[in-house]
Amino acid sequence: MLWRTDDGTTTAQSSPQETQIDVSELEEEHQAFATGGSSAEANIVMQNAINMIGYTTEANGKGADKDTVRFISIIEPTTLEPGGTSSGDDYYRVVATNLYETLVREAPTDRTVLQPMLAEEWEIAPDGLSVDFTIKSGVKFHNGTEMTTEDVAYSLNRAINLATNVDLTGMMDRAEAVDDSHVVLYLKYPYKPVVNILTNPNFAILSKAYVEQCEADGTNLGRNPMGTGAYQFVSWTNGANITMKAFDQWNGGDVAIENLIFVFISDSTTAGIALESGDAQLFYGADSADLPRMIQNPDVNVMSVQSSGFYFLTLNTEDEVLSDERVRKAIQMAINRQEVIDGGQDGLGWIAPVPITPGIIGYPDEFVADPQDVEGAKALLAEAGYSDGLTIQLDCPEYNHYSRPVQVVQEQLRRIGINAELNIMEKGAFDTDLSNRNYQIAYTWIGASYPDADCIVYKLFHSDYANTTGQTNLANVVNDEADRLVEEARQSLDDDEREALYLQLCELNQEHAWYIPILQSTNTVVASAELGGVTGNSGSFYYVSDYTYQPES
Amino acid sequence: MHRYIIKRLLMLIPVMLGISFILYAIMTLTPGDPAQLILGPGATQEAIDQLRAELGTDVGFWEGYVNWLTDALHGEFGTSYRSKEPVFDEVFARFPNTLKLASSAIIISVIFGLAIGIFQAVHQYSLADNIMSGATLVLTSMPDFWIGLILIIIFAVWLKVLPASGANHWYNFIMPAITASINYTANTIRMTRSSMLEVIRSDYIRTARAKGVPERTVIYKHALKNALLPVVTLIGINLGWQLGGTIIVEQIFAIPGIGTLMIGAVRGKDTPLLMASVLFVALLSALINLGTDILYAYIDPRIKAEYSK
Repeated sequence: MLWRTDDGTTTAQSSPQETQIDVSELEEEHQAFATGGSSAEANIVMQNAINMIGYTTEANGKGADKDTVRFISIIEPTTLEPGGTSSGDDYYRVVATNLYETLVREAPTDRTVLQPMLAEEWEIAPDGLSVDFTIKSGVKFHNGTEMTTEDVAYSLNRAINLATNVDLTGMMDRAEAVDDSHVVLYLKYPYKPVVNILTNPNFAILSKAYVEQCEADGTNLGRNPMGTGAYQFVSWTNGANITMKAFDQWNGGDVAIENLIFVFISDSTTAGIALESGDAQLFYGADSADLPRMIQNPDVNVMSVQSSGFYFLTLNTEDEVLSDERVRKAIQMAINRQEVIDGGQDGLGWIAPVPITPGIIGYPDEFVADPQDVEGAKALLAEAGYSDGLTIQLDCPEYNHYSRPVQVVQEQLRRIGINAELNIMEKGAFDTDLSNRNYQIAYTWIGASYPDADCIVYKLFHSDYANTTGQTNLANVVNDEADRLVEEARQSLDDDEREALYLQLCELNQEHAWYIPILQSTNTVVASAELGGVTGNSGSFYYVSDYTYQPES
Repeated sequence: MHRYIIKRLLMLIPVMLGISFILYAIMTLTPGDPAQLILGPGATQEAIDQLRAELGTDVGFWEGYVNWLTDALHGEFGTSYRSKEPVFDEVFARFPNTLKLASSAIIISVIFGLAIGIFQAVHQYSLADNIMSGATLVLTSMPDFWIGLILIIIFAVWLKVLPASGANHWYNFIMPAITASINYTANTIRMTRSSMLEVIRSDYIRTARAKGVPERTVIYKHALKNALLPVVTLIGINLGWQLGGTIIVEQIFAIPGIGTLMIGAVRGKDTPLLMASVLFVALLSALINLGTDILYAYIDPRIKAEYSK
């Protein structure tokens, strides 16, 4: 069963409260005395305060314990059960990456390159209908039991059948353990990027015995996670933190950081202050408005890379006004992407000319975007019969990273005579409206769950997904040429040919103005300067086992 | 008196029913689908329908409410849609933090509110009174989030004597408690002052003074007890408010309390979790109100006589 329904029975199985260790112990170790202050008086005042409360943070964490990393995330994951949340949930991913392992992982600097993790090697069959994985031997789960090919096949089959993975598993049929070192994944149809999909933490390898035991006795796997990763779960204090410690039998060897504590601070400014004052060493999910300040601080490193996705405007072609291609083209001509980045994202971000993320297979480098043309846009609107202007509804979710850029778009549309009424919505309501195509223009985001253009464009452009519920073909594109291009590109095994087909698709999109890609979002991690080995990662894979404290200079 | 208390407790039943109904209506009739939020943008209709069936959100409004109510009357408040933990486990994991924050904020506001308020009333129109009146006016006008950030900048960033966030130790609560109490302290000061002034002018105080009772006894024995009534009401209301979670303060100082839990539940359309947390807070507020009313009787015998009728 996918979603265990609770029958109200409770068991003696350890609950998070029971397994919890006293986090304050770690904290006390973490504290050190500070000296400083400009005047003697201030020193006395401060010393009194220190004596009184026995606490002080050390400037920039210097002198803090070198075996503990505190990793701030702006949102607490709802569960740590693989597949317990959507495959695109980055806040689950940031934590889960350190607990669980998958068969393969993406290379830190190039998403398209795969590296072995629990699989030593893999081979796609000549007919493309199966993948044979050679599984690493001697891998231990956190409870000390050895991982078998049975566990691997079980975990893959479990992932294939989960509702949260349906957007990824369409081509997968089943996995089978053929002997004690091989697992074969069978496909319904050949699909070249299938192995890339397995990097998603929703395909983490679990212990079959442990999962079945949890199901039998009603233990919430999401709050009692157990995998093969570099860190093992210690405790989860609801709303505050998740504590892990290094797994001493980890198949990857020893790690430099012994204790890993994820701290949840929902206010970006407070989180930034906690990092800058040395209370934490890593921070994921910073608001762009807080970044310029942190970039100025030599004690922290702000590492921004292009994220896996982009923000775009989707124009509902079923709408009475927007069914007129001239109106859509006029809107496209009104947009100046750099202005949106400067005004709405504090200058952080990259122009997104095409509906495909850069750095993934199929990205058309040669594409040339039409420049902004305000006069041309006005002329087109007049031709469409709107010389006196028109009013249109522009929807976006409530968060800053949507609502700020879209206000610049609103202003750009005003310049060509379109009065865009901005409708900033609660995320749930926004998703529902988008799913039901109950909108005119919406500003939203899409990401590449694996580094292949197909995972974005097939669902955005194929007519099979038009006029259905679900956030797929949002603009309701029904176009034979678009269908042909996405289908041919999907079946081709030649990357150059695929890129050429995607170039044609992007040009077709620009010609008809269905989707207007605006900006490439950033994926940012902020790290204390004393922590070495941290790099930005577009897929939000931050492996703390790779990091070390820099020797003090 | 006992009859009065029982009557008040019985009145809680329709209040709780009303609250649960309104909440359920808001959560289910407003747009946004928990199944869709959990499964994410890529979900198919089939997957969403399947999850709805498992969450029990695939039924109509009335059926859903009756199901919830039936379970609730059997003590089953369900599990959170997202964490799959029993809802009251989540509420009780968060509540101690809110309780600590609320009670320390109330203690601060009562101590400073009463002391400064009485002082001002006794020294009406003195320079100190004028300065303090001005200061309380400024304090009531300052928003929580601003005070919180200023305190963080001074004590966590500059002086580095207090942690900016967290809830692991008692000293984590110093800045949040001050932040949460400032508005309440200012209100308590103003209320105490005006209430004291009114009482001080009354005939029986003049009589007491005329017959030579020492001023200290006049103020603390005769005047204060009568002046306290509106102040106690205010404190009761404040405590009820604070236990509902000082959302902004919890957010700024990253304190995992009831307020942030409820915000998360609203965002995630987690109906069972929101129902449990709001009902819990509502029940507490109602009981605190009742407690305040009972306290009146002890402060003012005239009210006790009223209850007994």
